[in-house]
Amino acid sequence: MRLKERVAIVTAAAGAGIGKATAIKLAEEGSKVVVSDSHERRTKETADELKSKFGEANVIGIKCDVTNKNEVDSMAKQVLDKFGRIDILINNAGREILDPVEKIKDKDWDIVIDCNLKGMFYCTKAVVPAMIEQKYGRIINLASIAVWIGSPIGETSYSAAKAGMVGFANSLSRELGQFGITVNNVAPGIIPNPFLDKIYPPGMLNAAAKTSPVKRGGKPEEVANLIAFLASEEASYIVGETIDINGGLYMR
Amino acid sequence: MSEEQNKVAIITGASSEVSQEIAKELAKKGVKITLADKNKEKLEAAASKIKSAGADVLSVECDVKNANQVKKMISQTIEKFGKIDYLINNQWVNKPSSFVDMTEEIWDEVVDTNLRGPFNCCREVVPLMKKQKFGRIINVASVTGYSGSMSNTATNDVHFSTSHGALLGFTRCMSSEVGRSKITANVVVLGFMDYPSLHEIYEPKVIKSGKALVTVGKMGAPEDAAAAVMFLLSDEARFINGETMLVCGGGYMR
Repeated sequence: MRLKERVAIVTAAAGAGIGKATAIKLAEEGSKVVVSDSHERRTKETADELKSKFGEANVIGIKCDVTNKNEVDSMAKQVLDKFGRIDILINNAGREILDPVEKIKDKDWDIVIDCNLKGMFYCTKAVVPAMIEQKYGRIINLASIAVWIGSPIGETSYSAAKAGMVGFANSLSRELGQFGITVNNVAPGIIPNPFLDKIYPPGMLNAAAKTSPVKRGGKPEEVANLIAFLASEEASYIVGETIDINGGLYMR
Repeated sequence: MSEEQNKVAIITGASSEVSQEIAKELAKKGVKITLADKNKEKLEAAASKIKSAGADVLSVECDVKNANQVKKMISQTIEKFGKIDYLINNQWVNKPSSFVDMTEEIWDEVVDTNLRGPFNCCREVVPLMKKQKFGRIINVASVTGYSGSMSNTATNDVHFSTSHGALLGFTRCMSSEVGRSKITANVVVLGFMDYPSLHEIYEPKVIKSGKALVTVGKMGAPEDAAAAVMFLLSDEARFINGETMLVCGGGYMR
């Protein structure tokens, strides 16, 4: 139980992938968990599922669209009211819309950049004052293999957003390290889940995953393990790092 | 006749020292140049300098974060020069602020200029380059995109570092979209530079703080940036695509 008595917020925690697996893993490690998601019904369902496993008192579900500053600020306030502190923020909310660079519409660019970057900005802004006060914090952003390698399928906005997290984590680390707050990124490769099949051409992900040394895609739980480590005190000297978890699909 | 003769270039943020140095080098090679800058006065001063060096220059008032101004700037370039071979995105802004005090307005201004700006320009230029099956796109970024701020004394850069990190990812990905059309897209990553306009943004101690990290004994100059850009524009660099070339005097290594 590496995270006993910690309080963690996981954004986009009510989907089928890394967010939910992370919420479960953090709870297994003893953390109180805030299931945050923009989808109201799924937020409630996921929170209920975690409550039944980890106890009513240790989980809350909060509907929150990270691109809405009011909802984000209100979420942080609710968490502080209920649990009294915020130790861990997992910025997992992201969007991707595929289009070649010359075809991207302003509104689609905004959706992708706002969800990935502005959302991270809002959520981080909302929790940092509490983390500074308690002299402890772990901020972990979900980046992507797309930070390092391009692809010809129309991911420039997504790659931009995810790579922005590298500068964000490193620069913010320099400001917050003195308060016992670390900021890091996790950059997953291909982690298949049903939702991703709606974004990518059919079969593409699995075919690409098979070209990795381990010949398969990753599981959300495998990414959650890494996130839980970074969220623990054991990882206190890891600062401003972007850790790849991609089965060797790309090695830098 | 140099390979660059009769090529057409666009440089954004054209009044900056780095852009001016690039423009001077392009002019020497006979490249026709559109100079784009949001500050009319500085733009005119810059343009007359480059013109007096004998270059064929179009100057366009343009703030790259505004998509309509970018569209207009591109169409004026096509009207005057008929094509675009080189795009050099070098308009950027930084307004240092601690993260805790950082307003959304400042975040937006920095990210919009430094990330949306190059996107706006690439979106317009890529189809033209695809059609002519040639193009060189150079995005100029800051090493803060990798390293956060340049040293522990130079902080208050979270928005700036985010925008430039994003520009690295954007360019890598775009390079794999456009490569087959004989277009390359690369980043020249600048850091540990010292030239006058930087002093309008940063305190002297912030600029000097990088000096201890630089391995080549001196801070970088606009000429160093221009040299890297000119190489990447050349035919010799045709196999370099999606690269983020550090021009940092060894002050940061990855």
